[in-house]
Amino acid sequence: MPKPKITAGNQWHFGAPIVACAFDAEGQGAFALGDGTLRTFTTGESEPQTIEAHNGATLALTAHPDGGFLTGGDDGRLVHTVAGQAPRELLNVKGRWIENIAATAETGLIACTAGKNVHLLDGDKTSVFAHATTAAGVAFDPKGRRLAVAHYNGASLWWTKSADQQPKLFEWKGSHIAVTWSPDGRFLVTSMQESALHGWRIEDGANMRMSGYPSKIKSMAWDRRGRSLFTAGADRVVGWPFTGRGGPMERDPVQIGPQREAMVQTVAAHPEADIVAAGTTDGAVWFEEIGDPGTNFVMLNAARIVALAFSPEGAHLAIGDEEGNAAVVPVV
Amino acid sequence: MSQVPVTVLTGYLGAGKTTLLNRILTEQHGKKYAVIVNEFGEIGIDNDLIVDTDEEVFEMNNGCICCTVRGDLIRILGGLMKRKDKFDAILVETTGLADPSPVVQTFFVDDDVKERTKLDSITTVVDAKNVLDRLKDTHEAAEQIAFADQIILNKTDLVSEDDLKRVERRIRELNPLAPIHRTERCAIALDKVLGRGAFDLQRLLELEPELLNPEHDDHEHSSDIASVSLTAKTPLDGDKVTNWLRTLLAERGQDILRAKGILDIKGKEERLVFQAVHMVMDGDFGKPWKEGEKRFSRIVFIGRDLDEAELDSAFKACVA
Repeated sequence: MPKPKITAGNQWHFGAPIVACAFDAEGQGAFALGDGTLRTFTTGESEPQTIEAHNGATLALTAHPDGGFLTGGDDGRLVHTVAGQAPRELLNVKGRWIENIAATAETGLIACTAGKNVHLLDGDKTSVFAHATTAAGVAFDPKGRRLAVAHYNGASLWWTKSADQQPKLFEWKGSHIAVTWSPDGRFLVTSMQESALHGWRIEDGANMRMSGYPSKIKSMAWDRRGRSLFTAGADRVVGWPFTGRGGPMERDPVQIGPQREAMVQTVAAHPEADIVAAGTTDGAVWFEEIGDPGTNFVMLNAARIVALAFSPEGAHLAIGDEEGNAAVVPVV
Repeated sequence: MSQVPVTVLTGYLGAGKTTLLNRILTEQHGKKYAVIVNEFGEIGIDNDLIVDTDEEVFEMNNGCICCTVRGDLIRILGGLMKRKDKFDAILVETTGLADPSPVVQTFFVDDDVKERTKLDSITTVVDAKNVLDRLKDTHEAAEQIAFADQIILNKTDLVSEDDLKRVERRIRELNPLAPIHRTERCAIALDKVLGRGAFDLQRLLELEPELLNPEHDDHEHSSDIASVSLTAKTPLDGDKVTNWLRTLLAERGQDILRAKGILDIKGKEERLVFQAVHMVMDGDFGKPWKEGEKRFSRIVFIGRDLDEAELDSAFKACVA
C-alpha cells in the first residue's frame, strides 16, 4: 500500500468539534459537527457543502438507506439530509436529545433513541418502544427484523413488525452504553461503562465477557466477513474472534497495529479488504492489513480522532477530530 | 484542555434551590451557563440551555460497593462538550430527595467527565424555618448538609436570631467545615457561590478556615450522621498515615461521606492536604509551613456511626 498523504486539497478545518462522519451507499460523504451543521462532500471535489441541520449540536450521524444522511441533535430532531436539498425533519421529540440512530437497508427502517424511548420509523408510521432506563444504544439485526437497545442492566430485543410485544431481555448488571449486532445475526455485543464488552449468543442468551481494556470502548467495527469485531479502548486495536459456535468464549483477542502511548479512540473496517483503520487520542490515524503488519500512518493534528469512515469501495478514508480538523485520504 | 467548572446544587424540597438557580442565571454577568435539572423541577427556569434529565443512579462494577454514579450525567456532560459554544460553568440541580454521593462520585470515577469538567463545589440550600423538622423526619436532609462544601442558609427572615443560632449549631454538628451564608430569598453575591474551587486542594485552607480551628467540644450527636475531628501536635509518619487512610476508606468508605485534612508529615516542609468522598481520596503537598509556625495535623471526618475513640487511637498510632 502506498503511504497516505494529507494535502492541502483533501483537508479542512470546520471551526466546530466533529462528532461523526459517514458515507452513504452512493459514495457521498458527510461530517456532522457540534455547531449543528452537516458538511457533505464528494471525494475528489474540493469544498464541502454546509447544511444547517440542527439548532444546537449534532449528536449522531448515519447514512440513510435511500441515500443522504440521518442526523440527530440536542434539539430533539431527527433530520434527513440529501446534498443539494433542504433538510427534512422526520421526528421532533421536545426536550430530549437524539443521541443514537440506526438504519437498515434490508427493511428500510430507521430507529433512534430519545431518553428512555426508541422511536422506530417505518415510512410515515412511527412506533415507540419504552424502557425503564435511558436507551443508550440501538442496532438492527442484519435482516432488519429485530432491534436491540442497550440500557442499564442489559439489552432489550424488539421485533420491528409486531405490535403489543414484550421485548426479550438479555440481562447483565451494569450500564451498557452502545450495542452492535454481528453481521451473521448470531451475537449481540454491548460496550459498558466499566471499560469492558459484554456479549450474548442470540440463540440461547449465553453470556460472554470481553474485558481487560484500560478505557471505555467508544468504537466497534465488524470486519467485512463478520468474523472479527475490532474495538477501540486500548493502545492497539483489539480484535475478538466471532467464528465457531462460541465466538469469543474461552478465546483470546488479537492485537493489531502499532503500540503507541496514545489510546485508540475509533476504529473502522475496510469494506472490501482485510484492512483495519484506527484513530487515536493524540491525532494519529493508521491503517494496516491484517496479517501483514506494515502500518500506514498519518497525523491529522494533535486532537483526538473521533470520526473515521471508509468510502463504500474502500478507496478513501474520512477522518475527523474533536477540534474540527478533517481530511479524506486515499487508501490504495 | 480546559475543564469546565460544575456546581452541584442540593437542598431539600422547598429550600430554595430553584430561586438560587434563577438568581445565578438572571444576574448581569455576561456568562454562559448550561443548567442540568431533573424533570420534576419545582418551577420554571429561564436560561438558553436547560437539559431535563432523570436522575439515573447505578452501581459501578468496580469492586467498590458504595460506588454509585449518575449515568445520565455522564451522557449529558459528554453531549455538552460536543457543542461549538463552550460554557463558563455548568450547574446541576439535584432533586430535593437526592443523596448527593452519586453526583459527586461521577466526577471522580468517569474518565471522560474528569478530563473535560471539574467539580467546583457542592452547594446546599437549607431552609432555616423547616430544616430542624426535616432533619428529624428524613435522612436526605442530613446527607445533603453533611456533603456540602458551602451552605446557603435561606429564609432567615422567617426565624428569630435565636432560632438561627440553633439551626447553625445543628448544621455544625453535621458539617463543621462548610461556610454558612445566611440569605433571604437566596440573595448572595455570585462570586461567593460560583468559582469556589472547593475540590482544589491548594485552596482547602483558605476556603475552610474552620479546619484550623480547635475542636468544638459540644458533641451532642442527635443523628447518626456526625463529624469527628482529630488533632495531633507531633509530626506523623507519612507512610503510616496514608496507609491508614487508604485502609480506612476502603473498609469504612461507605459510611464516611466526606473527609478533609491537613497533615504535618515528618521530614516534609510542606503540609500534606487531602480530601475524600466516600472511598475516593485525593491528596497533595500544599503550602510549606512558615518558620516558627506551630505545626499540627488535623482531620475532619463527616459520616455515619463513626467511633471517635477508635479513629483517634488509629490516628495517634501514625505519629512518627
